[in-house]
Amino acid sequence: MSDLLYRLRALFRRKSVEAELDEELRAHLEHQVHRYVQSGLPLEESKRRARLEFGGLDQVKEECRDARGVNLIETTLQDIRYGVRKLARSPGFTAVAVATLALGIGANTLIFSVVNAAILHPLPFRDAGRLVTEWATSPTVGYSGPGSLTDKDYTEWRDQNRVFSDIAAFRGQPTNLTGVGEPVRLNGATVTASLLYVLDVNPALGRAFAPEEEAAGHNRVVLLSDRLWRSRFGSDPAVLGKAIKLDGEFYTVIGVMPEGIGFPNEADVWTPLTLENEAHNATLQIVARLKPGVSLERARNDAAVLGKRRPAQPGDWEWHTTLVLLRQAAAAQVRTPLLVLFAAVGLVLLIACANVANLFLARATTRQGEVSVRKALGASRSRLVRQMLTESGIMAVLGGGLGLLMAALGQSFVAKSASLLPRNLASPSAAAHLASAGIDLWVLGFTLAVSVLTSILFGLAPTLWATRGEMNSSLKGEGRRSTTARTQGYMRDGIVVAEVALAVILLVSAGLLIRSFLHLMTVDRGFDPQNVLTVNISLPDTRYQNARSMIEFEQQALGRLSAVPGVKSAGGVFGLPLGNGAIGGDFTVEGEPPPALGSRPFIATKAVAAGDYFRAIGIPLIRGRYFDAHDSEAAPHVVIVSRSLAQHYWPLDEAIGKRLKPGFSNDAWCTVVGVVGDTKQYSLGEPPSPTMYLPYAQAPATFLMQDITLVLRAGADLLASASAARRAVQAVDPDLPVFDVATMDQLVYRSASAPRFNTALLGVFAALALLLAAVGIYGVMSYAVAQRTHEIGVRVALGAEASDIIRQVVRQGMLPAVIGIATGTAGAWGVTRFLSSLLFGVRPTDPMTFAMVPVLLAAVGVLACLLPARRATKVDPVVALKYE
Amino acid sequence: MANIRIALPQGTLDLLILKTVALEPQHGWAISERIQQISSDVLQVQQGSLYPALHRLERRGWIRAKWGASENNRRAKYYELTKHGRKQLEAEESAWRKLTAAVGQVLETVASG
Repeated sequence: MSDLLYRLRALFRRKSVEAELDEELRAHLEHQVHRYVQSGLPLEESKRRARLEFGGLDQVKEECRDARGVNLIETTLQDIRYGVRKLARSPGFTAVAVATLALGIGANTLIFSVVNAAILHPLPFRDAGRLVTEWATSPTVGYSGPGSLTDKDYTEWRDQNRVFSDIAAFRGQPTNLTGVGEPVRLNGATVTASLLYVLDVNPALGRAFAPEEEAAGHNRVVLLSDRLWRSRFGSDPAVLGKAIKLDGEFYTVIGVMPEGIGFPNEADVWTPLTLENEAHNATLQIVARLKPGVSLERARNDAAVLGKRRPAQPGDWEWHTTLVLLRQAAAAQVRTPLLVLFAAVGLVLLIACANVANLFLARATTRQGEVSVRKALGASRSRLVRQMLTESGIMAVLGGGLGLLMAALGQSFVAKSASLLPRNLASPSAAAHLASAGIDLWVLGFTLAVSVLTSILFGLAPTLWATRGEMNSSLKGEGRRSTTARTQGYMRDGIVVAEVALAVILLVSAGLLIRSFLHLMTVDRGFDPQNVLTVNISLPDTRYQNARSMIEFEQQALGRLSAVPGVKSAGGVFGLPLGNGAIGGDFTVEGEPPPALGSRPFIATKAVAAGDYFRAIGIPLIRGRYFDAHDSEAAPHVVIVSRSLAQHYWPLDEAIGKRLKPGFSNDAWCTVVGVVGDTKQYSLGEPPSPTMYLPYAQAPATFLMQDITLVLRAGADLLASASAARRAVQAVDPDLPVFDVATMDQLVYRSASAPRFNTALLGVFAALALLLAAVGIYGVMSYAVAQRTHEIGVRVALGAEASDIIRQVVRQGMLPAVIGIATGTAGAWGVTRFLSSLLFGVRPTDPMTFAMVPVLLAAVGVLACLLPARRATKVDPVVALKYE
Repeated sequence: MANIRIALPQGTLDLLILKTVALEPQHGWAISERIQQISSDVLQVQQGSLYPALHRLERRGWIRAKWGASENNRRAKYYELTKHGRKQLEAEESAWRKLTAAVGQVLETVASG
């Protein structure tokens, strides 16, 4: 540090430091002279001797400066000044290069800021890298997501593990808040008191849960999110100690969470979790903090021991559970698409570097003379390289600064798109992270690193080339036609090959995503989304304690809704396609043997339908009938199955009249009365999901009846229907909030938002790559034509036709482009399989895409060659021959 | 006799400078004079390397400079040892002694053996 201060003083107080040095050395000489004079020599002779003895004064001074460490900084400053002057003298060149770099660096910064927020730092907790959660995968049902534990599992983990310093369990529990303005549906969670210790979060106001508040009878306390506190309680600190009504019960507010904390599930309210002796229903998720010094690996081994103590039961699905870092779980959904985008944008940057390197290379030729002169005057090669790298560094810094600006602008776009992304089912939402992407120190550091790296990437090759050995030839002005020109030509062609190849890879990837997206948009969804409105309600079990009360509510509400003017049909469903979720599982079919142990059971979605649901959403009837008013509680149990379920067991025509048990605890045989079309249940990209529908009045469990999506087929004015629906619901139960109001069209749109986002961004990057590659080819060809003006002039003079010239120039320019296309196509063939999880209806080696992209690039390449080729035909032989 | 002068081995100049200014603050010319004197004119300091060495030592924080009046009433730059420099001097001195002792031992043994 003192060394730096010393250097800086030396640098900034240079004048006075230089003066001091002068004076010091002069003092020395005078002392010496004085000594000689005293010993009897004449003054003049004394001076001469002292001078002689001392040696080269300037050399000593320079060595002193070196010793002070001034020189390194000073020459760098010199280089910067020189570089800025140099770049300012060719503003066109500088502008093109800086703009190209800014595009590349800007796009990279933008995507990195998203990666940074979503993958690297998704959790707002201290030491978040030590937080783990359970992750489950099941090949049987194709599930990969947060694992779930029974209350008993959790207690055992808590008491027996040796690897966690603390562990907490939680369960997402959305809830209705009433009594504070309009009734509202809130995200909520019930959590063990330990959660806040595990996360190391302290309430901003009030206190955390006490362990005794987990006990039944003491658990009517609640923590509010900062967001809820501001929006519903006017940021009033006096809210502490007040009672609020959640799902019809009173809870005392004991604290408010810090801003930005919404773990898990973007919760707005947290209530204590009361553990029960529950060993069958796995409804808890966990989060734990590793003990200091315990590795994830060791924790996994420990957890594996705990997880295996229960022997597998017949009919169990194959499940694998393991521990993962919480931040990994949080980023699970966005990881692949983001990394694909990150890779894509990296390729764009490489292409940008290739173009700028090309520009520098062209300029290096024109600077041959300058370099040779400086070399002849004794500049060392390292000094020259340093100076030229400084120039490319300045360029990269300019490009980086501009790129940062572009990234900041692009972020508003990302934030907007992020709100459309599907919510992450693992705790914190992916969308929230994307929206929170910002420019922080990590992003700044990344941009700086990328800028420096690119400056070396595009600066080094041309620089080394320009400063290499032979100086005689260029001093003599022979550079242009000698072998050095040929090696430079190879280098430029090589750059074109590389950038065209990279562009092909990007275009193929984008092409695959675009084709896949088109498939997604035209795929049969199994319902008719036009003019359909959906409204969600949730009947709290504190007020609706049995099936009877729910059926009554449903009948009254649907009765009112059908009477709303403009509504053609109204129904309700639990398990709306592309909706908030559904229940699925295996079931028993009469006459079918149960599946063998360990074999993959046939899984179906189990939906519950009320009123005129099928007509309202537009699911077509294939055989039999829809439900009607006769399918009441007391009537014989019936079921409607979707086509793929029916066909799995019977010929379509024989399905009606068959019987099955839906697979709940108190099952009765249900007779198939209808076969309807298949729908897309969770996403547009999945195969049609086999579904069974049970009548609402006959639903085998009340948890299938609590959460209802009301579905209305109405006229064009869906907005009016929405408020009518709210009024109808609240006329039946004034305390019931309606939430997630959306048209089916919106749900379809939203379910395609992640692919849309990926496709759009990758498309933009690919277009950018194409443009840059075209510019690259054009640049090289323009330069080549200019170089060969002489030769072309001779040919024209000898009577060559314009078409001959054009053909020859295009052939020469297309050679590296064609090699690049071939290389790139081969590369894409190897790379696109990483995209397969993002593709729908298109194979990673889709022949159509692989055929189109090379053609497109070849066409663009020919265009890029044509302009310089046409210029070549305009060469005036007389001028050309004088040109040398 | 006066003509037997030895060029300083690499690195020893720093040690000699530190030792010289350890007694009292000195300016550059006096330092070179002192070294020459004490070594009975055997060691001669090249002016060309003295000043860069002084500036290097100052940068490292082993000596610090002050302007003062010299014997002949001239403004001169005096160098003095810092605390840091004193430690450095002790370390280098003991290293030097060990080195010379070891080298001497080798020379003696080989000569007599």
